[in-house]
Amino acid sequence: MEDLPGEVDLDAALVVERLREIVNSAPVEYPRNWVPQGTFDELLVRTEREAIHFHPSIHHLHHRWDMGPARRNSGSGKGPKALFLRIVARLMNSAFDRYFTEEQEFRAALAQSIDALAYRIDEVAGNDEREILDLVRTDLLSLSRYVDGRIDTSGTPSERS
Amino acid sequence: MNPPRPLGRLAIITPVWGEDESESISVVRLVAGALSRHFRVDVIHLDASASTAATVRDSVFRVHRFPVTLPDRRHEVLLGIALGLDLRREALPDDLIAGIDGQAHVDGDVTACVEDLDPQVILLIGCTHPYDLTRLRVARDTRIVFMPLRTRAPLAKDRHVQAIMDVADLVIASDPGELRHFKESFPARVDSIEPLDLALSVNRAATEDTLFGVRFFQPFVLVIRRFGSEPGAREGSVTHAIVTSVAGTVSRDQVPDRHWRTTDDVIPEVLPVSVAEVDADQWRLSDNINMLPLPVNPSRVNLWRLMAHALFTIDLRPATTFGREAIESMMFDSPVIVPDHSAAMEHVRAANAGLWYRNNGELLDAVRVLSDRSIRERFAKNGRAYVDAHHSNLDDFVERIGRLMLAAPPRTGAE
Repeated sequence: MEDLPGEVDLDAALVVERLREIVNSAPVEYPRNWVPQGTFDELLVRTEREAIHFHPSIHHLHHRWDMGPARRNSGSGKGPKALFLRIVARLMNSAFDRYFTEEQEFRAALAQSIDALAYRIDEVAGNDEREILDLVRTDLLSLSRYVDGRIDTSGTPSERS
Repeated sequence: MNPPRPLGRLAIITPVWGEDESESISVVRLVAGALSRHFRVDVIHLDASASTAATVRDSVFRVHRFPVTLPDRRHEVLLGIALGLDLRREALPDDLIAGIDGQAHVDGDVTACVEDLDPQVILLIGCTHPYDLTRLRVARDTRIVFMPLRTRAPLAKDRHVQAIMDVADLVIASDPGELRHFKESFPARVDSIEPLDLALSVNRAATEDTLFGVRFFQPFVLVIRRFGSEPGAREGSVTHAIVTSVAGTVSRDQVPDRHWRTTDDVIPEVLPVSVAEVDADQWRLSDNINMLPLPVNPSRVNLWRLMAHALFTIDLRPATTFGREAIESMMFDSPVIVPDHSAAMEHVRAANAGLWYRNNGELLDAVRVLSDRSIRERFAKNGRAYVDAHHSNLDDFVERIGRLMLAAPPRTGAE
């Protein structure tokens, strides 16, 4: 929002133009569509267990689930083969529009479901790590208490002698 | 007491008529209804779905139905694709368009029908093809008014529009974009191009009622996918989960006070944004966990109730003729996000009361922008001022459109 002209009288057209400029001038690909949830659990990052969100296939899914750009891009060639393919692509798109729309919804739902599962798995994994750490910490504390107790009960070497 | 003044006769020639709830038809019927206060209205319906000519009564109108054969649009599309051109009709060479247009014809003599009616005014609505006024042998003092009722195509290049502009006394533009386009394209005719400013009647009192506890929902965004039985593709890729994930949460102070019920309930500091979806007769309320079907009648009054309590409205439908829901949303202080290159966008732009998008990415950007309460409130204030000035007073509209028809100067040199 800090990039938007906000202090002066708000102009919707300027806001839309500014948003488009930001998108066009972005040095990296702008998140154009749905963005997966991030776990960003520092604990998971520091462990050897890889967060499921960083799995390459999930990364691939999040970048490829949207069929919209592929359907809209029918090529820019001018040769006879390009023209023929463009006609076929248009016809296929219009003939299977209903199917493609359903497919798109299905893919979106699938991507979101997998994202939710991945998030949940990372959450469970994070909790798991925490529990293990708690157990280890408890064990260490018990051990230290035991050692401390043994030292207390057995006394120093000079006392024992 | 003076006897009632005899009404003049007005003929509407249009391909847009019928019983459906589509936006074009409802706009034409609203205009015809307003004109019936000033004229006896006959409708000449150029009906692509009719097989025989007929004259029927429809409400206060007499409808003369003429079957019409339209040019096959597939030819234009195939030619456009083969030539690697934009699929807009205007991108094709004129001789090809003329060849395709030659396929169109009307079964029946519209000219004879118009001569029989001998109207004081001919109103041509959304009708530039296949019947144009240059073929009508109308009396010299008959006024001709043209209402294009289309927003997307650049009209100046359309030879049918140019032919009509040569004979029309007045042009009525249905949205600010169309008005601007006509004034820029026909600078010599600026004085005879007027805005329609169609007034819409809404029941504000009804929105105070609860709609299945609508006022007790979490803050929500209204998404219109389809409304009523209107045709058109359903946009389904922007799901409620996407909108909720982008809209995220709002803090309590970001939600207008009118949203809350007056109880002592403890309102959390941060609330997730829900999505109310209107999808034909299936209305749903969803957050990031649950989806609740709204067991309500999918009526316009209930749509107003949702608009009145939404943080903002997203119109996901393809461009419509007039942008009625965008105007209604502004009437209920709800900023609106609409598709670019649509009549709704022209209203929103003129009102400075919302944002518009070309693709899903821009739509989500707009959702992020409208997550800010101060921006929403400024847009809402602008929208309310715009609709109050242009689209609220039905009585004024009825009087104004009557005056426009009667005040259109007679044609000169059109014969």
